[in-house]
Amino acid sequence: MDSGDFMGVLPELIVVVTALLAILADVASKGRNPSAAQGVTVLGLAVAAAVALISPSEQTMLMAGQLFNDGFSAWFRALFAVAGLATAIFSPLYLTHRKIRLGEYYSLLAMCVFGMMVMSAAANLLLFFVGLETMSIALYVLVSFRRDDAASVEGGLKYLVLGAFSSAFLLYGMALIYGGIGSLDYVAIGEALRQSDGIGPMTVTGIGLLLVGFAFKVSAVPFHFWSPDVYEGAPTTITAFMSTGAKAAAFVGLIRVFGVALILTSEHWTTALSVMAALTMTVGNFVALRQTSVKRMLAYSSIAHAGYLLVGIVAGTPQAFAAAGFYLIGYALMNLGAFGVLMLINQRGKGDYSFESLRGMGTVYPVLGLMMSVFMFSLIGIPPTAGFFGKLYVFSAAIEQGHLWLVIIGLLNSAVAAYYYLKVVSTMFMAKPEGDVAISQPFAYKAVLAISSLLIIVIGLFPDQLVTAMLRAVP
Amino acid sequence: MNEYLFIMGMVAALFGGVVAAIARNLFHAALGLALTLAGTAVLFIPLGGELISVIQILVYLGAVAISILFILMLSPPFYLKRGQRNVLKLIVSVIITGIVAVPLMSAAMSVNAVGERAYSVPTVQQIGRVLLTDFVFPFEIMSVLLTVAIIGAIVIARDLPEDKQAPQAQAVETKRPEEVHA
Repeated sequence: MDSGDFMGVLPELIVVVTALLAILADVASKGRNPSAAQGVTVLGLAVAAAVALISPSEQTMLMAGQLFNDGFSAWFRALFAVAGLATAIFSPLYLTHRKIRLGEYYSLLAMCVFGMMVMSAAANLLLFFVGLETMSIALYVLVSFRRDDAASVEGGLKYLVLGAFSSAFLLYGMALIYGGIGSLDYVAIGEALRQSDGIGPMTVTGIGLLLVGFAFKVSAVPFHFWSPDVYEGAPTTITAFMSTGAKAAAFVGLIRVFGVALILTSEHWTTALSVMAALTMTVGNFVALRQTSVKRMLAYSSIAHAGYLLVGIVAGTPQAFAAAGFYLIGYALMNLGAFGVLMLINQRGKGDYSFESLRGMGTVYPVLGLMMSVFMFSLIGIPPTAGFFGKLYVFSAAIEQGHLWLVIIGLLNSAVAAYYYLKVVSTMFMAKPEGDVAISQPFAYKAVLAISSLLIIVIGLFPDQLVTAMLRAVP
Repeated sequence: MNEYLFIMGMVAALFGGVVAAIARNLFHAALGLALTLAGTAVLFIPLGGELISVIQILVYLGAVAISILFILMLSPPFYLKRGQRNVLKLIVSVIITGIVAVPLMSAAMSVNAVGERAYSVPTVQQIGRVLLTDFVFPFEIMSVLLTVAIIGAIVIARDLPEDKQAPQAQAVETKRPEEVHA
């Protein structure tokens, strides 16, 4: 290990130290000052994001070939740190009311970010798995953090059981791939496949199990059953974090494993993946239509967005992966923002996250309403927002590869999705407000919302810069 | 000799697995699981994986199986209740087992495990060297993983604050014990 290795994993190191300092800060303030742990976490994650973005110009390997140090890992390490930071800023308003001890909460949040960073940079299946488990174990606990709430405990338990189940699939798949190909290293797997002609039944089975495991992790239909209950039971801050950060981390892993290492075996899995993508888009959207809770609606819509992203993986070209990366960044901004506004309106346990709770809030708080509209328009994919160009790039990459039917299903689904996203906007502006509409709006909280809505518009106005950066970064 | 050992391990693992799956008493199921783990440990010996065999016994029999049994013995005796068998569930689980088993069988049949080893079996020294050179980063990350697990276990196991000894939590416990303790 030389200094280059050390500099390369600096973001990870900062995040781990942040996680430990958050607990210490909580202990030092004897648990009386919850903002101590929060301050440490926000600061640490901000520094980590900044350090991560000082990206290397060319791809290098770190730690004896264990980690990729490329543009893709730089962008996503920064994204995970930012998602964790936004979640940390959203948290006090949600948690203080529920009297949750916060030191461990922030620490586990930072540990989650660490696990995601490892997942996105890992260059072999073993390290990916260790990162995945670090993230998952922290998430199991965070989901069930409201231990006095039956839904939260149930969500945590479901996530634990099904998460362990899907991890077993992943691990079995990895073991069979190791047996069939003889390596865990992404680069070595790709090289071995280039030199061999065809793969044996062991490798095929391994790839199948790996695909099922990944499908669980990105909650693709028909392996999505855990996610609505988990997303609904979890503290809403964690729901926001999971549906953006955890999903993006799994997708980066999917791109690196299936899109790069195993791309030569694509004849064995493209059909399965495209059926999965079509089902995921359709089921996610149609079930989201019927929801009365905005929180649950966003949970199902995040399944649908996973479907759009899977279309990008099916296309399987560097352009498609760059488009998926673009989409993931845009989606993280808009979904975090949407959950942020939802939590701000339902603060201190006054709302139940139903559409009713949003009634007329746009007329009472026009700026908030405007920002929510930006997030919703971007989730639909209306120009000029990041969501529009994300879909455009993903779908055009899929058309280039001849997956026209998938794109048509995707477009039809986007039209369906417009209904429930616009319902949020219309409830906020068209309906009359009822009851007590007073909410407190902390400065940092509003700043996060404002920055993410501005970024969505800026990316929507100048998409070329980000997509060029993604094309350069793509593995 | 090796073949007898292999067949013995195989029979033990299979029998234990069947017991674990069909026993209606959860305690018997746990014992079946322990037998499966022991049988798997035996399987590694004729394949030249003595180290893995020892680790399997230490970790899975010595730690995991024992703690499962302890958890069962220390929790309320809900495992004495025997649920009715549901024929539909049985059929579905047999079908799913088949779907998973067929490709696994074909994968296993494609290599002749006994006698013909695809890859050389590493020695303990080699494994140790690789862990502290090429794989030192994952090895170190494991310590973060364990830290997360410890913090998480403390958070989950800690008593709720006085005012949060919530009625809902109690209600859950009386209503659906099997889900809370599972």
